[in-house]
Amino acid sequence: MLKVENVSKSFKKRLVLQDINLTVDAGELVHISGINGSGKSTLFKIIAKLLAPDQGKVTLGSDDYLGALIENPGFLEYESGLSNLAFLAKLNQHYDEGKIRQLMQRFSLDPDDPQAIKNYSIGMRQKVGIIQAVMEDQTIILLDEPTRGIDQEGIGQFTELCHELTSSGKSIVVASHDTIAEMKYDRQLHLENGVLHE
Amino acid sequence: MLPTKTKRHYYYWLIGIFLMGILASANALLTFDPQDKKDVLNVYLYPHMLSLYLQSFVLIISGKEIMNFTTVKPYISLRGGDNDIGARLWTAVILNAAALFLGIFIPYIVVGWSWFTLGSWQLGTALIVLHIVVMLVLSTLLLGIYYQAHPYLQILAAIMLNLVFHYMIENQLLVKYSIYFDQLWRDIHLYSH
Ligand SMILES: Nc1ncnc2c1ncn2[C@@H]1O[C@H](COP(=O)(O)OP(=O)(O)OP(=O)(O)O)[C@@H](O)[C@H]1O
Ligand SMILES: [Mg+2]
Repeated sequence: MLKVENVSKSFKKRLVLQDINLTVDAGELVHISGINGSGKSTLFKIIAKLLAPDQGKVTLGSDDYLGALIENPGFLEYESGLSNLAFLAKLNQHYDEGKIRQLMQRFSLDPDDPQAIKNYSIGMRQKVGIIQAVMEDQTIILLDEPTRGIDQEGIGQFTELCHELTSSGKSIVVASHDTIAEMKYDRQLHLENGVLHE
Repeated sequence: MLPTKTKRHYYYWLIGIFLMGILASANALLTFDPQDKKDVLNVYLYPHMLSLYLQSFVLIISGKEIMNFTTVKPYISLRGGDNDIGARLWTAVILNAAALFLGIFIPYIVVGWSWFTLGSWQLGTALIVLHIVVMLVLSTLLLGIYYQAHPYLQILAAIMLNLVFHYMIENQLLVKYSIYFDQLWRDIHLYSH
């Protein structure tokens, strides 16, 4: 379970998030929409502890493990997709090569493609970014503009994966300015002028 | 734990730095003026080759190696891996500096010249140790590239500090080791005839 309580954040004098409250239960698929600059990525960074809020707090369940794709994924640019994923998974001893290969194949990426990730297309990089957020059996998954640059087939693979993960009890929060037609969200929230509306 | 290609790149540069040190050192010994005083500080610390060119080069390589990890940092932080990666990067840049100094001093040991002929061995040793410590501290400061922004600015700052130490501090300390390194004394005694 993810719980965001009274989170506020300003940059200089600009108030970006104002008293945000959000609870996401196990198995929920939540959408946060909002125009460019509305604070979606900022909220995700605070949840992921990459950024400190001015006020409020974020708590996860004791068995929860957070996965996140936030803004443009960066990688070890000279390494292949597979070795990047392996490197990240090993940081927490969650490395399962079989699972990573399977996820890559599922997204039509060749795990044995030796080329450096810097030569990947935008959509391919994005897919690797999505995979790193789910490959370690993360229980709370934040996906910021996950379908950016991804082709129609990839979007289908992505929505299928999301539905599969939530039915196995994982919580997913997707932030995007547009809607993905095939996604069956349990809840749709809207971020506007720093306030999160139902 | 680091991916193979990253590791391989790193080891190539490490060996490269070591060989560069050996070659530069051998060159300094082979072209050493026979009239000049055979003293380790006179071969390496007083001339600008080591501080100006070699150390600047190593600081750039070390900085670039840290920069490779800045793009992926959010994913590392998310997994609580910053300390682990920070420690590995620190080891990497310290070994780069160590490889340079090994490469520099091994040829001097091989030719068998005595180390301190112009001043006391205590002060001479202290100056060498200080020189190495400064390089290790500057290498450590480069880790700021991983934790903060402005990588190129930090590399530049490390190079500038390195030069400030060499030209403004080390050169003064060398005079305390031996009058031989005093510019005025040199002008009078070495170049007057
Ligand atoms: N590090 C920062 N320093 C200053 N201002 C920032 C910083 N990060 C974000 N902002 C500001 O906060 C606001 C929200 O940015 P954020 O990236 O969260 O928006 P977003 O909803 O993710 O937009 P997009 O749809 O374009 O991704 C913007 O006005 C942005 O300029
Ligand atoms: Mg954003």
